Amino acid sequence: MASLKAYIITRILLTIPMIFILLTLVFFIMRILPGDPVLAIVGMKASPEQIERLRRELGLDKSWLEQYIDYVAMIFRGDLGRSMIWGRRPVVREIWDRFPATLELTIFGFTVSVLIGLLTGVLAALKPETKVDVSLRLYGIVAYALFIPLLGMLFQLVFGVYLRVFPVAGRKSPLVDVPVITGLYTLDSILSGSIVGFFDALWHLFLPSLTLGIVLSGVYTRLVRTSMVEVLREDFIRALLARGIPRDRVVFVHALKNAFIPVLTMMGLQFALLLAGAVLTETTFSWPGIGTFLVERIEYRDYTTVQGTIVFYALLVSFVSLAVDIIYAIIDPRIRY
Amino acid sequence: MVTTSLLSIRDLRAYYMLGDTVVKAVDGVSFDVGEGEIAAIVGESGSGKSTLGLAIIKLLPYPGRITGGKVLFRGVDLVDLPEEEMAKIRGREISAVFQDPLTSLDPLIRVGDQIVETIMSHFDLSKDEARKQAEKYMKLVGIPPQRFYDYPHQFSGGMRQRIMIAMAIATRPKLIIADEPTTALDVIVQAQIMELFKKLKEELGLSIILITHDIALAMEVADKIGVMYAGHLMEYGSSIDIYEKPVHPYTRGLLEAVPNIETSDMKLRYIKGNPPDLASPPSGCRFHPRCPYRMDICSSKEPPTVLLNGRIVKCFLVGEE
Amino acid sequence: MISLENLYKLARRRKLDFLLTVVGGTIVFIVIVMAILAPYISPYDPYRSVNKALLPPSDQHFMGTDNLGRDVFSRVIYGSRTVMFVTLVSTILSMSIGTLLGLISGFYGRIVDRILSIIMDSIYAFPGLILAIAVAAMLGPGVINTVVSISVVYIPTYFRMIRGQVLSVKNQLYVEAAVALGARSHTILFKYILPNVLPILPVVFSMNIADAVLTEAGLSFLGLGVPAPIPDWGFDLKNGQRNLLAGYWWISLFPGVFIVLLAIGFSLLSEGLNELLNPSRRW
Ligand SMILES: Nc1ncnc2c1ncn2[C@@H]1O[C@H](COP(=O)(O)OP(=O)(O)OP(=O)(O)O)[C@@H](O)[C@H]1O
Ligand SMILES: [Mg+2]
Repeated sequence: MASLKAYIITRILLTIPMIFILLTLVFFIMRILPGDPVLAIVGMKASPEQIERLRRELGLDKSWLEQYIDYVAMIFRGDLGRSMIWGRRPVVREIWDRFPATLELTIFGFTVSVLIGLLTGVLAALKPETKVDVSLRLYGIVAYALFIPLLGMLFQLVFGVYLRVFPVAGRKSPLVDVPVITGLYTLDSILSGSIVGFFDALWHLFLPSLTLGIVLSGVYTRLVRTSMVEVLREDFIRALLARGIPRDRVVFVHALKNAFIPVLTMMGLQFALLLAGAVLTETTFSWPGIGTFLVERIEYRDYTTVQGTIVFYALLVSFVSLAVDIIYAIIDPRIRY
Repeated sequence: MVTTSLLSIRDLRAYYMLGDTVVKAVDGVSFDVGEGEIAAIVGESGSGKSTLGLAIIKLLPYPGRITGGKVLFRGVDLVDLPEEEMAKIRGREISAVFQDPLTSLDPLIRVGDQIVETIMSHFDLSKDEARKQAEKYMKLVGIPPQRFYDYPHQFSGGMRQRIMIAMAIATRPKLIIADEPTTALDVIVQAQIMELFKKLKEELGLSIILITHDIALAMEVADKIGVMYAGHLMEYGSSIDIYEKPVHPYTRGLLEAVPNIETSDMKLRYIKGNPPDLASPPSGCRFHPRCPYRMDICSSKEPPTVLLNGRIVKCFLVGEE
Repeated sequence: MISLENLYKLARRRKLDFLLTVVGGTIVFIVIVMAILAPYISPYDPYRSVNKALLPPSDQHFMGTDNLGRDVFSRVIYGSRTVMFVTLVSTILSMSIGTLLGLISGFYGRIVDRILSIIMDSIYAFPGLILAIAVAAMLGPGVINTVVSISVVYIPTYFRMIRGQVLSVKNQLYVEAAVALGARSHTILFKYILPNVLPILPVVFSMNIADAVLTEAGLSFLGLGVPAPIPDWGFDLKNGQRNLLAGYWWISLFPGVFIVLLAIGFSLLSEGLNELLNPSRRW
């Protein structure tokens, strides 16, 4: 166990340079690129004093090095600055208000994609080189290439416009009122005992998470298939069968558990795909998460908010990939010792 | 013979279907294994020993298939048995131990739990009772029960093979098929494991089919010896008989190839030539191209299997006697 | 490299992979032809209102008209120009920069390699579309800006591939010490690295374009790609969404289907080529 701790500490130490690089990258993207953000924000008509004030407020009057130090120091204080429009709320608060919507969508989308991926991947692995296998291979390619907005809009058209069974936008019906506790509506409705609220939240989640889930499942189909085929060839599978362990148990407990490890190691990168997919899913379904928020604030040239949101994404990605690696170490005993 | 047979194999055939070619890895093999008997199957690499072992428990890898013959276990033909029935026999009645102990355990599960899982899938026991059983068998094979909670990678190869054996006997089967159980291990561990087999045979009345390419080892531990060549069983009989008076020219060749310490004849003899390709084996007797006693008939007709003083021989030299 | 006879043999042995390559290649080919011949095959001016708005598909308007009365079919045809131009140029840009950095990193090693690698790994780990969004947001709309935003995302792909090749060649060269003594950088590059990279390059390149097609469409769907009124599938898809819920599906559907078709085309091409050129690797 001692070395699990050592592993985790090493892994955490390795995350620090990654965070720094990403923060630096964001810093440069937000500054080096052409166009004066201040002019872009206030417009050409602004008076010189106005421009000067904003410039000072954004710290743009200082040298780059000073700006960079301020920027990093601010982030480490957990501060992402203030929005430049509408009440000038702290960016952290703005993000915190929208993050639960994105989190709920990605959790459901992720679950859908892993379930589909496991099902199709195992099925293909159990019948290698057959028609089933080939069709699922094609499924993997097509699912990955499905453009999220197109699939989402097809769903909206079929389920929302023609069949009228699912809502095409938003997170809840206007008349349903569930107190916000965590911001995850499914969880909040359970906590406050509202069955209507719970099903309303699921009902709204259905199309967006199905869209996101299907598109991401293609990658899992492939990953699961490949690693399952490899595991099924291993000696210990034959040994388990030789001991009379039922075949279903061998395949779905022993083989699947082992096949899942390579899939898990890829999950950090998959999470990046999930976040990117969520931006498109949110915009397609008017889902009030960070994705729609980011796009909206880009339109309004809310420069600090855009920077803060991108920084938030960077931190999120770093922490998730750290978490994935730690979970991996906990699941696979061979890493620990 | 006083022993009654536990396992009777009759004209068993197991082929690998590789597109248009068919590899006849086991091609008409018959022999009996009695209760409390160790039968060794020896032969060069590729002679079909493993295929035979896997065919008995019906775990041939794709594209292998049993294409004929019978495997009578206590009078029941396993070849026709549906998979669910077969799963009840595997482990419970017939266990298997394979060559590579390093890869034969599920790496993600504690070894104790793997033994418990095996026991519980055959007996209606509580987890605690199964645990006690597991510890008992760990002790029996010489693994301290404190290591119940360790993972496979924390054990040495020899210890892992002992764990495999513990699992194989924990369900108290009648027969264990051990396919080269010590090939991956060093000589001292090999001797320990062979002792363990003998002990199990004597104390539990187990029958063992020991698959090996080491005829000297077979002579040491086995009651019966079968010699396989290119998918055929060339000779099968008690190990003493075969040691003292090998009949088949191939058996003689194998025995001569063993360096003999007693007569200080350390020169390594070997049989000239290579084993045939099983996709297109030689006509007639499969050994004839390498046989020093080759006759004309050998290349045209497959020799019959002849019973000779309680031993089986597949050679024209005997047929004529 | 591949003679006709070999190709024929391959086709027989690996029917499915060959089929994938052919189907993928055909889709890609059709879109390229569409892009090149756009002025000759499109029935109307894609920029102008040519009829009433929101007309459903008919003989006159094969794919109907959009909310401004523009011919959807003509816009789809011209849209292929935008997507092909943006993705090809940005992929070539990524490849050039990524290869250059990969060579530098692999040859110099040490601190340069460390720094470049960690930068590239960080970019690689960051969600591609969001990175492109950030760059595009700062650059503002425009064809070239879109090209730059997308190319940033894929530089690490080539960097990692080339760096890996250089390192493995270096290792080989230590073994073949004699070669190492006499070899100059460009010999190493042309004699050792290129032959190893060339067979996987078409595979990586077309996979990359498949991805870039989706990123380009994503950017313009979000309004961060090429500016209106340039015909663009992602933008037109978004533009049609307003009217989708009223049942005017054709404005969105056709551009959207073409995005997916083109992405599938390049994916199949990559997949099939991978199996044919590097048959040892399974999917
Ligand atoms: N999965 C398989 N697919 C096709 N052919 C196989 C397969 N397994 C074994 N064979 C072939 O069957 C023949 C017998 O193989 P088998 O493994 O039974 O021999 P063996 O006597 O156990 O050899 P060894 O001493 O090397 O373990 C060989 O010719 C081998 O090539
Ligand atoms: Mg073998």
